[in-house]
Amino acid sequence: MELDNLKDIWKQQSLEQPLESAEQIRSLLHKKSQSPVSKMKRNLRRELNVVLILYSASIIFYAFYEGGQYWEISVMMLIVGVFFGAYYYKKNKLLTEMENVSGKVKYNLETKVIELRKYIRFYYLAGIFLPILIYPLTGLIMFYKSPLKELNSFFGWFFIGFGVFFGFVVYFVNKWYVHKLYGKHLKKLEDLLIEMNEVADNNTKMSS
Amino acid sequence: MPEKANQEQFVTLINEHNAMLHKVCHVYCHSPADRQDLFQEIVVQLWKSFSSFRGESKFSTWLYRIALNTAISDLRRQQRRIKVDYPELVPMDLAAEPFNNEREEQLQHLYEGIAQLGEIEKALVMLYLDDKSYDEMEDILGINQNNLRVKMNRVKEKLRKLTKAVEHGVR
Repeated sequence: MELDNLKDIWKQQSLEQPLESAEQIRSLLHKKSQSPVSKMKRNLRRELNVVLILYSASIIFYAFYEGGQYWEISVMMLIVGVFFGAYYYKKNKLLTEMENVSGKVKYNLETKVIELRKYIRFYYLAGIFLPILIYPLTGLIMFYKSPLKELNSFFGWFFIGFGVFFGFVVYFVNKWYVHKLYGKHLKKLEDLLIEMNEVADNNTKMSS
Repeated sequence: MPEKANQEQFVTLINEHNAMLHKVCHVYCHSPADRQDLFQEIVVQLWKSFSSFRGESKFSTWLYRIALNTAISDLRRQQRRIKVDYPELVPMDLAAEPFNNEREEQLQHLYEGIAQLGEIEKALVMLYLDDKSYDEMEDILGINQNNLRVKMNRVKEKLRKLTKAVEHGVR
């Protein structure tokens, strides 16, 4: 088959494509996007709602429990909550940027690769930083607010030692998990971009 | 009321370009279920972006961009696609059905040939087969025209060989 022949075959099939009725198209307009980015955005919003409800209730509870004896827990949760707010804002911003599909294909791929890299780095850092922030804060509250402070110094060293171990575990598990979640996708997008840039590179090599 | 008018205008435009959307789905998805999913997703994405369409480019150019972006960068569907490195696994569902005529068989061969191309090459082939000018291709893909010409020559040659191979039963 010659290419002109292929063009004819290609064009003729237009007449055979199934036509959706106007009603069917209209019904699609009310559907939610099933793209991974839109799903991630929806999950993030759900996560925010759960955190808002649970954190607000817990902060109020500890602020007044036993005449405000455990107010430090409320402060700790408030600090973590503020960090979560920043985490939510940044993640939502990156996802919104990734959601746009109206640009030129090459630009769209470049944007997605850049934004996904940023997203992975942020997810990775937040996954390490948040547990490492919470662990010493929990330790401080435990020492000053519970009978544990009366224990010998062994417990203190154990707590620090476990913290170091915990930090290593968090670091490696987080690295593995982030790679498992997004590594393949990023690689695929990068490969597509390489395929797209191939010609430009070859031309540059030929002219030099 | 303006929303309603907007919606009606959108539905009319989609109906006019329905065939093009189906071609994108056919090129990028192998199973009917995946094609249906992709079609829905493209329409949803088009509707989400419709309010920002200013008419700076042709509607078909804008539509092609969104359809190709959705098809190419859909991370989820990519995992379900059969790897074209193993063409013997390409499940062209049409192949199972008997051909009604020679043209249908040729169309099947064309799709089988296209299925063995890379994701970007598929986009180039579609634009070529749809007789898009290099200006329009540049506007859709964002690749400059010199590069497009080089790439297009290679892809056309590749497609010619692939369709011939498929025609002669070599995959």
